[in-house]
Parts: sequence; structure tokens; C-alpha cells
Amino acid sequence: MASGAGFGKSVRRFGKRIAGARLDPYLVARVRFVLFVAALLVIAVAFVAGDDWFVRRFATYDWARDLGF
Amino acid sequence: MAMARSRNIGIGVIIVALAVVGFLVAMIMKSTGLMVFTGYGMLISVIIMLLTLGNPFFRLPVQVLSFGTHRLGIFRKLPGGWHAEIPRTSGVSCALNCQACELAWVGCPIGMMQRFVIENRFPFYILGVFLIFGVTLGRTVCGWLCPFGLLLDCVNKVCTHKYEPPNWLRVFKYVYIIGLVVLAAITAFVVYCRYACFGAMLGIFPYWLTWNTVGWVWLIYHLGVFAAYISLSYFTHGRAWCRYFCPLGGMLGLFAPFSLIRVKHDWKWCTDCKECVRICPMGLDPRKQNLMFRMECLNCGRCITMCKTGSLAYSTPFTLDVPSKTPTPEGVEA
Repeated sequence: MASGAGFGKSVRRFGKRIAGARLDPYLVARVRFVLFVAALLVIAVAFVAGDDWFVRRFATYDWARDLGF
Repeated sequence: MAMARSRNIGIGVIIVALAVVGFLVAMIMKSTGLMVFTGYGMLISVIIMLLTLGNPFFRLPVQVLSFGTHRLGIFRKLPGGWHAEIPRTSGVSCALNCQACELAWVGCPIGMMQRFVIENRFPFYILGVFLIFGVTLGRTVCGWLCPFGLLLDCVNKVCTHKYEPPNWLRVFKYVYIIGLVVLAAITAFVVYCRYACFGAMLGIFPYWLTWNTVGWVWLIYHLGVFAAYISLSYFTHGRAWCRYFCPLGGMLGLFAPFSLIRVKHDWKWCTDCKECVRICPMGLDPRKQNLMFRMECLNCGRCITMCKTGSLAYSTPFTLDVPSKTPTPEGVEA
């Protein structure tokens, strides 16, 4: 029981530490650039993997019928 | 004046860049017949949002316009409407729930993510869309465009309750996302769209009015859940749905700390009056500028409007670090 309470306390402390962390502006700029490039790559992969066809089929799918409306 | 101009240039660079990229992507995708990048209603709202983002005064008109344009699909089914010319759903919505599927111009990324999981496919496209919007705008769309957000803001205008649930409950929306994906995989069904999506709740009533095919059970169910969400927001301070439940906001929040647009605080002019903390609909402290603030901030600009000393302002990587207003004598003395 005591170990459970201790674990909960350490989780809360870790959560507070993460939530209260301040981001270095240079790190933010670098990560932003990486994420932006990653976004373009992921979308490119999506089209290579044929997701565009899936999205197109999805886009014309009759949602209302499937959702019971 | 020169300081204000430098800020506007920063916002302007993002507006022009996003508009050009969005237009090119939309034209390329449309010309190749793959899909339309986003719906017309969404597109109109986004453009106006970007044009007025520098001034929080325009937020309410933009929200109202967004709410209206997301309801335009209703005219497709009316006599002489556009239903025959336009497919039911034109593509994936980049940042908003679809607003009731059957009336939607665009599909919801959460709904599509569930579809991908059901079909045993990794949602590359959805992840890319989240990344693009998260890195550029963060949760700005939640604060400026979300139709449900407009309703919650209206509820909070008349709300007298100020109960603040504990901050750790914000994690629930991520548990919610994981639960939705797992449920979709197990049941092979779009659980969120059918039982919990506020877009369906908002859209089912006009759908019921015009198409006459909605069963009473579904109408009552969706309106009941909708009332529950609204009640929750009524009894708590600010936007309870956005803080604890919205899966879309949660996904955008993951990338929001790295977004191009954010609210920045300068202690130099701050009088520590805490008006910004009191007004924040997300229950955040803009002065702290910590990770939680970056992930949760909707960029609604209420704190900027409320701040009398100009210590809060929109900031972009193209903006010089200057206050948005001329500091008052009180601010300088502090």
C-alpha cells in the first residue's frame, strides 16, 4: 500500500515536472523544422502507400448510412 | 508604431506562406483528381482567421462565420441545392471535427484515423495532416474556428460557476484517443463518430429537420449527450470539453509547443495582476510559458486583450520581441 502511494506520488511529481518544463527556443526551432520535414515525408509516404486512394474512397463514402442516421 | 508594424509583418509572413502553400496543395490535388484538400467552408474560415489573427477583436466574428459555413452543407439537400454537384465529403478536415458527417464538407481526422485502424492501415496521411497543422497553427483553430468552441464560449458568458478541476485530468483526452483507437481496432466500428462526437450532435438536428430520416432514438441520444457536454462546461470554468475530452485538440496539442504562432509573455511590463489567469478559458497561467501552457493554449487572445500593460502578445519566429502596446506608467513602475 505504501509503495503504491509512493508510486502515485512519484508519478504526480514527474507529471508536474514535465508540465512545468520550459522549452529552449533554439530547441523548439530545430524540432519545428524536423517536424515540418517529417510531415511532408509522412504525407509523401501516405501517397506512396496508396492512402490517397483510400482517402478518396472514404471521402465519397456514405457516412449517414453507416452511422444509422 | 514601428513595433506594432514589425509584429504585423511576422503574422503577415505566415499568412502569405500558408495561403500560397494551401492554394498550391489544393490545386495540385484537385488537378490530379486525388482529393480536395479541404472543404470550402473550412477554407473560407481559415483564410479569414489568418487575415485577422493579429487582432483578437475579430475572433467572435470569425467563430460565428466558421459556425455558419460548417452548417452550409444543409443546403445541399434542399430543393435546388448543390447536392448533386458536390460529393458528400470532399476530403479530410485538417483540424476540425466533420460536423455531422452527412452534412460535412470535409471528413474528421479522428473518424478517418479510426477507419484506417479498422482497415489495418497505418494512418500516414492523418498523421501528416496533424503534423502540418500542429507545427504551423497549433491549437489556434480550437480558439478561432471550432463551432463547438463558440457554443462553449457562449455558455461561459452566462456561467457563474467557477469550479476548477485538477490539472492532471487534462491527461484524460490522451487516454480517450488511445481508447478510441483500441476500440476501433477491437470492434471494427467508428465508435467515436456514432456515440460521442460533438459534430454529430451539432449536425443531427438540422439533418433531422431537412432529411427526415433520423430516428427519434438517435436524435434524443445525441441531443442528450450534447446537453451533458454543455452542462459540464456550465459547471466548470472555461472550456471543459477542450481541456479534458477533445481528441482533436489533444492531437494538435502534441505539436503545439513547436507551432509558429503562440502567445508570449514579457515580465518586464507585467504588474502581476493575474487578470490573464482569471480570463483564460483553459485555466492556464500565460505568465509561466511552460510546456503545459504551450500544449493547451488556444491562442484565443483573451489574455492579450485583458492585459493592460501589453506584456502579452502574439509571437511568431518572424516577430521581434516587443510588447504589443505601449506600456503604461504603472507597467513601467512595476
